[in-house]
Amino acid sequence: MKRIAVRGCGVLLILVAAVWLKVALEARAEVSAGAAAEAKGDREAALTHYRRAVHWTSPFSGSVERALDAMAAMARAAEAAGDRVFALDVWRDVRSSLYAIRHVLIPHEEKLRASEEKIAALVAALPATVTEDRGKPEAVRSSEALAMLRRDNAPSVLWSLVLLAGFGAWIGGVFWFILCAIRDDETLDLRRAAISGATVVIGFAIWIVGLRMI
Amino acid sequence: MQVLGVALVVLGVFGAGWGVWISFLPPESASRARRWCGAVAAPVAIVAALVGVVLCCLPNFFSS
Repeated sequence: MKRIAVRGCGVLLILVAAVWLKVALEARAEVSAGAAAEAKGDREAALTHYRRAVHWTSPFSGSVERALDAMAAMARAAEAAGDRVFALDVWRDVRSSLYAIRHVLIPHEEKLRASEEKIAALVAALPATVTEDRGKPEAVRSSEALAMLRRDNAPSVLWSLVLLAGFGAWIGGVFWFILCAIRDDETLDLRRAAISGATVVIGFAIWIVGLRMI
Repeated sequence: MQVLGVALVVLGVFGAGWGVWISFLPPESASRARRWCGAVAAPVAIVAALVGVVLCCLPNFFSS
């Protein structure tokens, strides 16, 4: 049993390492492709590659940081050159890429907040597109845009964990029932059937509560 | 839809429990037909419970 567990952990470790290596190498390749496209003057292609690099996020990978820095530099350069529309596109890409890699935490949250401030300022500086915004001072439009960008629509972490625990419990209970509560002569071991059945029902109830509250 | 969802969940959970219970009874305790009935009812009840969860937790899932 111990040997099987050690082997299982070894195989799992190798699989995780292989996936991590693949993700890290892809992120690195995308950063290089982005830099090459930028050197050629193809800003759109560079932005696409940097965005992909951020999406290939993995722990301890410096490529995501490099891609985000390159995107920020592109946005600042566009803004300095008076191309506010492209700068806005880049900051929006920074924000959406960081939301795409959000999990329990938001990686590079300070960059996300900075991108939101930039987006709000740039949106306010552009001509108003809706009637209600016409005549409003730029500072007001900027603060309204920032409030809208920072509105928290994320699912609750606590209820997400409750939901996952409930799901794991009822699926685990089903496997427990199948593997342990049914005897070889196809009759039920009542004690095990009752415990695994209760696990399924309780897990199912917790799962539903999690789904409702998330 | 919410009420239907809750009803399906409750019926599904009890139906699945009843179906599994009946289908594993020994031949001397239940007829072959009853055990077959339980074996068919259990998966149908599980599907009903899952549809109930969708109705309860994902509003407008079955309508655009």
